[in-house]
Amino acid sequence: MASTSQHSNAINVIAYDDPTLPVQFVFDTPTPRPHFISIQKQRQPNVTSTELDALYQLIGRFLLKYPELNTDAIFSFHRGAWSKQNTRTWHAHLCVNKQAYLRLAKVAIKVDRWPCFLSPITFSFYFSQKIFRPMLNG
Amino acid sequence: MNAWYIRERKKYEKYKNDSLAKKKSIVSLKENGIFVDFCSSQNQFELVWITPQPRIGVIIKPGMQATLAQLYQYMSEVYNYLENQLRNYAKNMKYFGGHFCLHVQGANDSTVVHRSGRILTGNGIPMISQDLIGYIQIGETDYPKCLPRRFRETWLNAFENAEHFVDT
Repeated sequence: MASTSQHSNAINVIAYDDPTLPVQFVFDTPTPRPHFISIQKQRQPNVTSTELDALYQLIGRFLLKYPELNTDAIFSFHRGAWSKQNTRTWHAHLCVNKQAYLRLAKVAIKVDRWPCFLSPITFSFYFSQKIFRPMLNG
Repeated sequence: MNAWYIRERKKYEKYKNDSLAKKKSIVSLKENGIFVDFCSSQNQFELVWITPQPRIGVIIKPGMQATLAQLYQYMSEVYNYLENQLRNYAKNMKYFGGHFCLHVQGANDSTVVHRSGRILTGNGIPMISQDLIGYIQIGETDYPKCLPRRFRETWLNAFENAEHFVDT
């Protein structure tokens, strides 16, 4: 769906950040689905064990802050042929309940956060993916 | 997002059917004894066969504690071992991949999280385990090859009757 360039140029919409930790969660704006992407603040091809330790703390705090996400959440690392990454830097996924995700995404991903040259395209892209339609109907 | 779901559902339906088309040949493949070594290894984790999804479950032994970092480390060891074993076993294997899936919850510490799930027991009868702390999701055709031979037909039948979707 999204090309490599879209991924690497995408503006990160932060879902959860802790200034004391070197990793953060962003919305998957290029390929919308009910998960958050964990990325390093200084993006690298690989992840260190220190960053992974910070990541587990970040997950715990993020899910404590949003009880609606705190049901059956799964943290997923891709490996081997399944790790075809759209970016050349490390990332992993926090997979959560779809309805709770959509409620948060609706508030966080606003069209006016995008640079004006991107917003009409981005909005029509999301609309075509029906990400907003359930919200408009509901 | 719905368009993505529809596309993904079709993709996994196809993977499932491709895998089931090879059912007979997979069932009759020779035993490979994958995980015999791991299951007897001395640590707090143990591997189990999840059904009906192609997932190798990780459980924690009764009374033991572990952190998510230790679980990740263990999954890395299992994955590397599994890849080597499968490459020796199926020489023509081109692609191998998986998802390390860790159960997580809101917490101030980083200990593993127990959830229930259906696993295959010694005699092939499914039971519910309450001690699953995560799993490694692998390919639809790789998984039954890893399974002990006596479990293969049972698992493939269960897989056939379940919806196959990977959302991680």
